[in-house]
Amino acid sequence: MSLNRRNFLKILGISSGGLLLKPVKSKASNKKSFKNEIAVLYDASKCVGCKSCQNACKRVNGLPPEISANGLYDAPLELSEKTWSLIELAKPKDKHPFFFKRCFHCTEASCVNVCPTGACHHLSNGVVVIDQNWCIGCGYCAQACPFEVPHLGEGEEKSTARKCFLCIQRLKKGEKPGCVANCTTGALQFGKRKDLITYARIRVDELKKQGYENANIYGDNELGGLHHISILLDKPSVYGLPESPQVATSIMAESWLSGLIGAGLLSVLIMPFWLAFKKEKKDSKEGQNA
Amino acid sequence: MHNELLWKWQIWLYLWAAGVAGGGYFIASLINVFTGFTQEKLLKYSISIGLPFVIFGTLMLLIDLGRMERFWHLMVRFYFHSPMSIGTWVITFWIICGFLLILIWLSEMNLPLFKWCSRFSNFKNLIGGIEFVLSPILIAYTGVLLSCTNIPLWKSYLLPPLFVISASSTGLAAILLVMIVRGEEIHHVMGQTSVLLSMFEAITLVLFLLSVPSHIIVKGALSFAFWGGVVVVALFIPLWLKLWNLGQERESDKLLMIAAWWILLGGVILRAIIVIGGQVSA
Repeated sequence: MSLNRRNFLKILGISSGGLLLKPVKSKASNKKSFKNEIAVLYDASKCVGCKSCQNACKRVNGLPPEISANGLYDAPLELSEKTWSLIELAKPKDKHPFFFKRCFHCTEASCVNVCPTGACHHLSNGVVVIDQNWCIGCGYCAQACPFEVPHLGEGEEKSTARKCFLCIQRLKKGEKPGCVANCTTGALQFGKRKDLITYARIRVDELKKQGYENANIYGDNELGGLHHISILLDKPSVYGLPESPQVATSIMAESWLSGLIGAGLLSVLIMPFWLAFKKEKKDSKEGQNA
Repeated sequence: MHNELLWKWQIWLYLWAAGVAGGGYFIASLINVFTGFTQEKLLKYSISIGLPFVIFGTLMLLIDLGRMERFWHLMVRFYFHSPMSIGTWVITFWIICGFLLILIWLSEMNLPLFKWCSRFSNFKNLIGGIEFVLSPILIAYTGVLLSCTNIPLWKSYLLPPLFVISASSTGLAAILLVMIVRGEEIHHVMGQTSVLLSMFEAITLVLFLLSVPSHIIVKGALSFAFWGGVVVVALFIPLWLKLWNLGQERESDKLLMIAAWWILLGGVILRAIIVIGGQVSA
């Protein structure tokens, strides 16, 4: 196909139309691999919503209480810089309405990808941590996370990003994360990710036989595999989770390309006017010389 | 509590100022190239305006950091997968090249104080070329920064081109404004270019709004600011003024100057609405 004016316009039209399409997940994402990959498994079918995990998280990490608008200590309703894990009530009508929310420690982690200083990074076991001595508090991780997990700190240590780091200080001592160690019903388990996934698949099959047709594992494949895996009794959206979460940088290459195409089109658009101007100047100069 | 309005006025001022700087130099360079390198004057204007703008924008970004004193952490590492890291380095090199160009031009004026800068003169074209390459990257970066998040209003391929075209329009407006104030002759092609940019921006804006959930901007809480501030102030009024001016036998610099002010103001409003709207609607 020769590149005549008609074909050029056709290509231009098709390319511009393509830009209107919704962003899709990048297929080229290289899956990271970790040594001694660990995870926490949350089984919503065993959770009674006692909030022991939530309280243990506060205690173990020395996190201050949330104070309501009228100055009273209050149970937190959302994750924040001082609440890193939370029991949420997903759907009051259900028999098992609870969901344990905290950082999902994604393999393809948006926060790690966008962090400009490397403060947000993976440990060799797959856990995502934010180095508090290196974070500059730009807030990019908070804007990029598909689960709205990181929050900027306030007070004395102002405005670095904070979130669950899976109690690495306890893991180093051979202990389980605070939430798992204090779970009263066995809804939270800690171990090798591979083993937990195997267990989760068996458990989901059991739940399906018990009548939970929509039972599923959240975190087996999402974002390259999560390190906070959940056994859900219903679709992820029922628990307020995105059905197919995307890495924030999944459209980065296309965004750069479209920006530069815009600059190129703009150049082509103004070029004829300035070439004509150049010719006009040249002609008038020649006219003067003649 | 969710990070509502985590990025405040400092960020949209930063995006705007970086856009004026990069867009101005980009357009000035294009004009210089298309006219056979006869418009160096435009380059001088664009750098003289752009440097204070980009430095102001960078200061805004620093003010917004939670730990401002750690800004140097951005300067010791480079992450190709982080738009902010790329942007930091592009801005840094843009500022360095801009300073070098100004020093070279000052040395060409035979000012005794800047004679020592003549040693850079051999590299003028190279430095100018680097600045030309960096400029579209700088203005595209302001859009890529927002599009690489999980905020639905920002997650569009069309945000970077919108910011590129808007930045070029505001950059040219800033150059026109300063040239008129300094009593320079404004050729009608400058006005035509500005009209083209405004039309191109309007088309891209419509395509961008169609590509994202833009309810909050078009019909929601920010609709008044959008229709009044962006459509009327940034696009309609300047376009009408410029078109009317082009139709006159003798073009009025004053009208062009008013249009340039509106374009610059509209550029700020556009970025404010997109930055605020994205966070409020997320």
